[in-house]
Amino acid sequence: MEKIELLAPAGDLERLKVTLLYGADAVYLGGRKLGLRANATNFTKEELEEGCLFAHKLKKKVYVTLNIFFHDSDRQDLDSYIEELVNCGVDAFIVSDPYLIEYLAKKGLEAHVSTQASITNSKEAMFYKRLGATRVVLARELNKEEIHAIVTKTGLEVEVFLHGAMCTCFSGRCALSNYITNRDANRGGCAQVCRFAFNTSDNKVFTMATKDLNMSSYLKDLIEIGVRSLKIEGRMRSIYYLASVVGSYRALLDAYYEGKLTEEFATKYLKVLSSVANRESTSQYFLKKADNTDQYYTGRQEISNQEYIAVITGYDKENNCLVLRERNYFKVGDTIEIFTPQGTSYQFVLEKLLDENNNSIEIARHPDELLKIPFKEELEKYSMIRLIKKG
Amino acid sequence: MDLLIVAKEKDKNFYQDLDVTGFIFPLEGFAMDYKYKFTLDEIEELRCKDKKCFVVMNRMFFENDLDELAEMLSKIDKMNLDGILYYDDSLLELKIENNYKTNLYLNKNYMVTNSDTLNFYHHKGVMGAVLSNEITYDEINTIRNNTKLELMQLLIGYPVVATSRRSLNTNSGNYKNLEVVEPKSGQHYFLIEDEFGTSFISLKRFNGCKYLNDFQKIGINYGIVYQDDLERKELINLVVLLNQGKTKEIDELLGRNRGFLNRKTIYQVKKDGKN
Repeated sequence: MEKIELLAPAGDLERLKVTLLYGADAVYLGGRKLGLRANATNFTKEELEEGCLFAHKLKKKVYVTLNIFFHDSDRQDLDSYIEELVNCGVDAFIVSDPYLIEYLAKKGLEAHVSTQASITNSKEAMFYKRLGATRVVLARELNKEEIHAIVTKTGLEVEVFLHGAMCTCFSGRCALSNYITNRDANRGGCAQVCRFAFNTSDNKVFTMATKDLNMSSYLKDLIEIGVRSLKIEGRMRSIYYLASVVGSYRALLDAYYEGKLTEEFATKYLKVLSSVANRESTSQYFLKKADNTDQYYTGRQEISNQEYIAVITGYDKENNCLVLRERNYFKVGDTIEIFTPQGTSYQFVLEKLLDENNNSIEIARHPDELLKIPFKEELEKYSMIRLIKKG
Repeated sequence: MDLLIVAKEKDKNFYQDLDVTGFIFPLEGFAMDYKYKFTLDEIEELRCKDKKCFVVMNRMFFENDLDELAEMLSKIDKMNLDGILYYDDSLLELKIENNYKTNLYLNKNYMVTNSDTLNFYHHKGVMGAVLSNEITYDEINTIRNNTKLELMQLLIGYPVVATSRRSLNTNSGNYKNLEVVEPKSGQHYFLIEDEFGTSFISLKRFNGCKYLNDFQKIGINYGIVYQDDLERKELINLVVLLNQGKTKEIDELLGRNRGFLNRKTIYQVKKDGKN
């Protein structure tokens, strides 16, 4: 039985590497144009070539988004752009325009239908299948039975969102950003107006910001109903967030397939997922229509996460120390956890901290500072450190 | 350019006497984003012999809706209506599967923005499309020059801005219909909630009549006018003014919000902070 694919976002080349090393089976990303995150760093041609090479060496895949709602002016150079992407080595295109789906399929290229097309039923999915789509990324407003029906009735690969931010409105059926900020929501300029606070006529605050999606408790259900790919949202998320979320889902999925997914095992990773979240999360539509428990009502609610304290950049063999770059404040006496792309972790009380000149210090105060921690062995690149408890 | 009125009244005489080409009826249970909807029986009763009759079936359909949808399309196919304005491509799929005769008009809100996509749908059997409200006049002109299908353009009305499956009003403890204002921009929105979700309607009435002659010259087939909060007399007067091309008088009555006809949206904020 083919295992379910864990698909994660890659906002730039570093995120691509982190995401794949931490266990994603595939990444999705934006090229230099025509994706729905126009203001993300995105990938140059050279970065995309390097990213595809990196992924393919690991036997993993790269999907590129071409999922804007095109205006005629966007169509210029589209053919040459697609050719450029193909030459870089991309494995598939994520597209919301049916004209483009058919166009790509006729060229023998793999086309996935973006969630921006908001596919909500099997007939609609079949329309895209007839155009040559091989996969559909379903609307986020579907429950378990509705997803299952599309899987069984179409024979298409079905991809669903697993974790991350939710839109308030149907994807592709929202232009709030256009009207309120003049930024085109459907060409990559969404200003997330659904998270703004509005006022009612009697001066009360009205908000419609959604809580995040978290399907970690329903992996078994998603696998059993035949979903092909689980998508993590967040091309603009930090490498720490990606490492934590991807690593956690990788561990949970591997444990499921090995028959080792116990409640105790799951609890550890559910805690990690909860700790990196900057908003509360629910399963949204999976079990029921999203209701008042799936939203916020008192304005934007995001918590800044300070637990990511460093990324490991090397190893000082002479002094047996990990070399790291600080991200947030921490100090001697704190309980920290080092975690690696391979899934190992080491939790201990920090007893000694050195600056880059091997001088002992008590406190790490300056983000981006190079520091050292005594440690018995070299660890993989992109291993990271999180704060567990202040000392 | 022919005029179509988005219906509100349930009075056949009113429709018969109005000097327009036809009417658009949002179908109860199958349309969303509209305050006023009609059952199929009401539409059959209200339709006028010498006027065109379109129905709107633009909501998102879920798996459990498909049988009812197919049944409704089958009924409509016997009515010889002029067309169905639709969003969900399951309608196109059902039309192809069952060889329904009723013409489909693409009504995908923000997705009807370029010539290639429209030609694609035309090739699949779609008769026409309602252009997105968020494109410029120049873009409309380009589309018209590069496509052959029938084009519909909003002329007057409060634009739909977003649609959610969530019951946003009642979830937050408010009434089903709610007016809100975004404080920084000062923009007012009306949120219509029904069993299918919540629709956001901008309360800044769009008036594209300044471009009326241009639309006619370039060959836009239909101009859409929403009655909305206009009283009958006001609508009758408006239709007279439209037929006479008196756009200045219309501006005096309804304001000069041209929407995006003369304003491009941006989507990439440049690094120097300029748009």
